[in-house]
Amino acid sequence: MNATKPSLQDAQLAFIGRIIAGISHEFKNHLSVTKELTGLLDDLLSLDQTLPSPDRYAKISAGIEERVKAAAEMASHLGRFAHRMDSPLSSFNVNEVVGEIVFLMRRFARLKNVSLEFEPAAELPSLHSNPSLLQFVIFSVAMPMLEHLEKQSVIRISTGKTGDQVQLGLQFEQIREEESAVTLPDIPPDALQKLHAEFSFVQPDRTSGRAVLLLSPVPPGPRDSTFF
Amino acid sequence: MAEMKVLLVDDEETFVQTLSERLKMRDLKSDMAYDGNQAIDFVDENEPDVMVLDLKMPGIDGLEVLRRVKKKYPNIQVIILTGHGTDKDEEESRRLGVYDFLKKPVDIEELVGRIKSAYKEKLQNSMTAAAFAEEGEFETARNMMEDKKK
Repeated sequence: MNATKPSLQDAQLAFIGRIIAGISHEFKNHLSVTKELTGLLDDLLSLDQTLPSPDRYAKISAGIEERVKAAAEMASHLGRFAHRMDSPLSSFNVNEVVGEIVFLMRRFARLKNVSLEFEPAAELPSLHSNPSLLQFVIFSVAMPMLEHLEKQSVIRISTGKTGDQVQLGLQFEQIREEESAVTLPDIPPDALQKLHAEFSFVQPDRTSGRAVLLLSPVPPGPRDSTFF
Repeated sequence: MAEMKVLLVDDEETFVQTLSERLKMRDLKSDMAYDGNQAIDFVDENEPDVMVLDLKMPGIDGLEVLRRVKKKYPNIQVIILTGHGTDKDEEESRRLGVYDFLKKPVDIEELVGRIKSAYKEKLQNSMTAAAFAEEGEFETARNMMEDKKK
């Protein structure tokens, strides 16, 4: 197999990524214009001393600005997430990649009344691998578990260092009592195969509600693009 | 002291016009360009002190504008203001000598602060180089100006 030619699946991911990145850019442009227009309105209102109830306008304007800020943050995360698919392999900071997917999954967790927390460790080595696949694995393990957790419970995702390996932990707290026999979801077989190809990998511990992945830093270089 | 010349470059016309009006309300006059070609033409004719430059534009993009401007006019301070900048874009911009790299949407007071400090730095660079030149140390002065190109 040609080591430099991306697989069809990689090409499709890159295509989806480019479309999402482009749209998130457009969102940010519209949000920037909205912010400036609101700001200008604010400036003009502040010059008008005859305005009745100026506090009311200030409150509305602050509300718009708050929403613009939140939406811009989302668009930024979405844009970076999409760019992860630009190429199958790249050097990346694990905390950034995990933080990104945690941010994007928070909405789903919130809808289930579950808190999604991320505890990043300091000074982790960079990995040269497939960041998009790593995010997919986290998503594949964490998302189905939302159905089995008590309200107000917590999914705790953490990174750490073991020797020269990066450790990624997913801890599920307060699985519903009537579902105590529930096992952690399986990672899709293809993804598992790719994980095994590149990383020393620890199977999820099915009794304690905990999943751990150990990820080894791999130096950049030509590799078969179908693997991690 | 001469009035600071600011150039805003962005293909989103409403954004640039609104930003320009808000800067004016804060005593900062600015000119506008809506694409890379216009920006380069304007710089050749008017040599602004500070440029606020978007990255993604049709035609000549922001990085290319930055590259050309810094090569020909190393003293112009350039602030990138982008909604789309990747880490790679930021790295490349800094390598080309950008003064600052800001993400949209930006707080107006923060932008005003960055424009003013960019101008201040430009004045300081020019004054230091001029002081060396006045002392007859032309090579040091020239090197200082050349360093800004790197």
